[in-house]
Amino acid sequence: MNRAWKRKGVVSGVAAVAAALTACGSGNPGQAAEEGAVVDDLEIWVFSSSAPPVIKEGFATAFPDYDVDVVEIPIADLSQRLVVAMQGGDNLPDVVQLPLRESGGLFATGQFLDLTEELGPMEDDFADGILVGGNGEINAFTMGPGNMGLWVNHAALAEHDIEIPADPTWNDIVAVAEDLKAASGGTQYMFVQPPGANGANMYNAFFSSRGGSWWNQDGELAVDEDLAADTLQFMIDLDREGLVYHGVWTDATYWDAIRNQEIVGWTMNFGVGSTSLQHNVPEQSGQWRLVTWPKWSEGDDQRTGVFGGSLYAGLDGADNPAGARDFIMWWLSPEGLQAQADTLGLVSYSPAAEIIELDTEDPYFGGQQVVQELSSVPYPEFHFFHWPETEAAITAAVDQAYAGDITPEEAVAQIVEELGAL
Amino acid sequence: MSASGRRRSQKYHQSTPYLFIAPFFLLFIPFGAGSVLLALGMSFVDWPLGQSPELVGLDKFATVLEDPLFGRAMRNTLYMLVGFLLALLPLCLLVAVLLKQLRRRTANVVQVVIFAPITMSLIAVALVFDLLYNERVGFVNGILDMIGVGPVPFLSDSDLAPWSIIALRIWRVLGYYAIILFAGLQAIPDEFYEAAELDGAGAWQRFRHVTFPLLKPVTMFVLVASSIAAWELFAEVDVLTDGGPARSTLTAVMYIFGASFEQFDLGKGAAASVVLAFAIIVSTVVAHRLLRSDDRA
Amino acid sequence: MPKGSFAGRMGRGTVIGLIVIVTAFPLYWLLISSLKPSTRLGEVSLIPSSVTLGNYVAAFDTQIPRWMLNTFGIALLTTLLGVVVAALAGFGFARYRFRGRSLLFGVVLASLAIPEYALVLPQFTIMRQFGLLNTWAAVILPLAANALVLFLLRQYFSQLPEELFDAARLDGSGEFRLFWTIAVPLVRPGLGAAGLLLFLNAWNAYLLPLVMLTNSEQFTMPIGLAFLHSQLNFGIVEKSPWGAITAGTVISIVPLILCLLVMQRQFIGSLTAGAVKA
Repeated sequence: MNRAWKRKGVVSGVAAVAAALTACGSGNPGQAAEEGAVVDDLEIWVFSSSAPPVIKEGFATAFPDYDVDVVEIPIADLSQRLVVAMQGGDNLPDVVQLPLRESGGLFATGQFLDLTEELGPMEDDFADGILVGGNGEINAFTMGPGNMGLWVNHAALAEHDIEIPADPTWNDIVAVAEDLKAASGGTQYMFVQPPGANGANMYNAFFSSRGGSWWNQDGELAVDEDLAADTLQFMIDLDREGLVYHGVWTDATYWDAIRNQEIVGWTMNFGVGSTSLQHNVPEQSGQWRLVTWPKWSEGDDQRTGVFGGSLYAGLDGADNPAGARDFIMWWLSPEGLQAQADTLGLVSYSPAAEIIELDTEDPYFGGQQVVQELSSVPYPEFHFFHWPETEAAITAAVDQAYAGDITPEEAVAQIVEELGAL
Repeated sequence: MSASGRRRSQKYHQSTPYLFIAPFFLLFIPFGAGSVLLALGMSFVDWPLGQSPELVGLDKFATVLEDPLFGRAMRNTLYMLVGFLLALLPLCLLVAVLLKQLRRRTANVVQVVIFAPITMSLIAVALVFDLLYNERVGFVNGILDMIGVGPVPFLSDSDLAPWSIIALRIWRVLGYYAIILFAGLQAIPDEFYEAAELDGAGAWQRFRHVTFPLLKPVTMFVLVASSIAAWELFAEVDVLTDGGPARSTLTAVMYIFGASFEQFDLGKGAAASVVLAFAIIVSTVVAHRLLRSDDRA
Repeated sequence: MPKGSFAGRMGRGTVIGLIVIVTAFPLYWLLISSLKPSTRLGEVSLIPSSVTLGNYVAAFDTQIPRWMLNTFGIALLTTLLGVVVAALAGFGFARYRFRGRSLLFGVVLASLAIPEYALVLPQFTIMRQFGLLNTWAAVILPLAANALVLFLLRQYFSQLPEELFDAARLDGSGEFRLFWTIAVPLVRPGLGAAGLLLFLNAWNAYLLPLVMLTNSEQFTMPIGLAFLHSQLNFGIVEKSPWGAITAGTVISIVPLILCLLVMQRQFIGSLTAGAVKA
């Protein structure tokens, strides 16, 4: 073969690749903005796979004028995508779904839609801490709030003739856990401590249920160090006594431990505590009960711990702020409230109980009104400021304290020092 | 490298080399170099989310270098890098040489198996290693238990966790680098081995005098590629330990990720990247020099 | 070709056998995990107590087939383009001395030292300028300009003896002809390794497709699986995604193995013996 032919071959090969690239490019949608800037486009980013159908059926039906585009993004990559969109130019979504924990840092940037006008007058319809925002604005309300409960396999306890007393304190639960340990030869647990960041958040749930917080509502460091150390001491003591199962619900092995009745009780929110439990261990239907978050001592007020939640927020710089407002407020309409109840369980809007049916009996929990009971416990005021740094600092200190390298007091001092340097 | 440059100018037109490298640079300049330059630029600015960037000189570098966490992350990364390379390089050379000596069909099967780990999605890797490393029900601890050892807290002990990550990393990339080295071996003509054998060279001598020198360019490639990857370790740690326990597996890129996308401080993230890049370049040049001087000796 | 004494062969066999077993074990675990009902996933036993193909059915029920096609298309085009440009440039850097050679090569290599997380925002900005967001080109073009692959191929080309080229030049061959008819056939194993590197890199790419392609129909496998997995943490799933993840991973390994075999047969294992008379 001659040289010219070969060269032609290579050139046409390169050209073919280039042509294929261009073809792939033009074949994909996504740059509708050029088609005369239709303001009625509404782009919504979500991380929850249960959200898109609800949005498409519920919201899009209620507001047929909007051309709704729901974009799914893995939760771990959400803030990354958002940073790139915000700094990189004009590809901002109108609305994003955010985990409550990550919202504080974002709202502090002042780049989100101020909903004070809409949500301000409704302040009394939400518990303290549910309405969140930055710079004195209200940017969102928390959905599926992370009210914690103690989920108990009471049938497994009954096999050892153990029962949880009515209206228990944590001391009562610890006593039950000790009885269980003795009766089972140390193979069954009432407490679960996950590793890493989930472990830090578990500690936080206990801490927040006692009124503890790391930051006040103005984003200033405000830690009751004694309370923080005392709570950590409580959790480490549980571990030292051999009362704690170490693992996390995202592990495949976790649900086996529940199935085998190794885990007989654990503290969790509704999503994982009820939805995931029912899905993963359907055969234990009727065995489980919800015990609302125990008090610390007899005379105390009952208060739940918080484990996160999610929310929708609009972006200031996006094309369709009116659509974003309509969308966020739609969740408080009867259809929206029903959609919240269906996908998230708990509804943070207190008048919801009068508008939709929330006191349904759940057969999995022996007919207990789980949603109702879980939301009946007052929600703590807890502020997720600087959360990535805060969570990282807590995680490291809690790890060291569990390993016995430092005392709980030292751990808390270390956290406070790290947060103080921010 | 080995080419001699004498009388070159008469052999070909001056523009010839540029024509050869042009297509690559047509892609590299906008999409590679362009973004590197922008990233360098980013390290000199403060760029709050949603606002315009503002020049702050070396402030972000000062922030990064004074941050004890960054020091921790760099030390962790270096620690894991050294352990990783010391185990990986001899192992993958060994595997490549053994592959060459196997029957063709056997070698193909072996290659498929050892190559497969790097093709596995990280999420699935995390699942499998969670099950293998698990303290309570893990398979490895099950075996250790049978010989009366353990349970070993592979991922929950801050001394062991870095090594558990190294082991996972080696499992993932060993076959991949071994195959690249094997391809290098395939490019060494059999005549060299035959000549060496005629001279009565044993296996070790053939390796020392034929394989090693002729494979050096590819070995150099594997060393550079694997050490850059080790400096930029992130994904495996992210899914398996998330930097813990007690920050024992916090890596440099994890720090960069946190600064840029969790604390929304792009300048800080970029400055940390530049410091990391500096470390990478220095260590690569040093390694290159060392290998070259070894060559002359 | 097996050589050497019986004892030597035994030793070699033992070592390679051990490495294969240790490497294969987690793969075996993945395979049996993909065959277990999701409620038995945590079962620790070498032989699963019950076996089902349900996870594979579940995988095809998600968008996994679509994601696989996306990933495959992107990886294939990246490989083709990447090998062509890197082979030409690798030859250029290895065989010629020209002004700026060391500098240019140094700059290309140094670009590897900046981690991708620092590059993602600049890359996004650049792609927006070119109007390529939401196109495969936004992922393929940066991945095809792969500095490591250029480095690898330069190493191969620099190994060739100059005499080969001098002889051909005397016959009046042009420089491109030298590249195509002499150099390329001699570095076939290198081209195979380069192709493998590019394909794998594009197949496993996470950050670029994540940022450049914005809707779930455009997801690549790694992003799709991460999306399925991320649902676990929130307890918002009705259905455990582990089945689809394990089965999807097993399915997604197949194209890569095929790619390896093609590279292996066509390039790596195929050096024409005796081609080099140095």
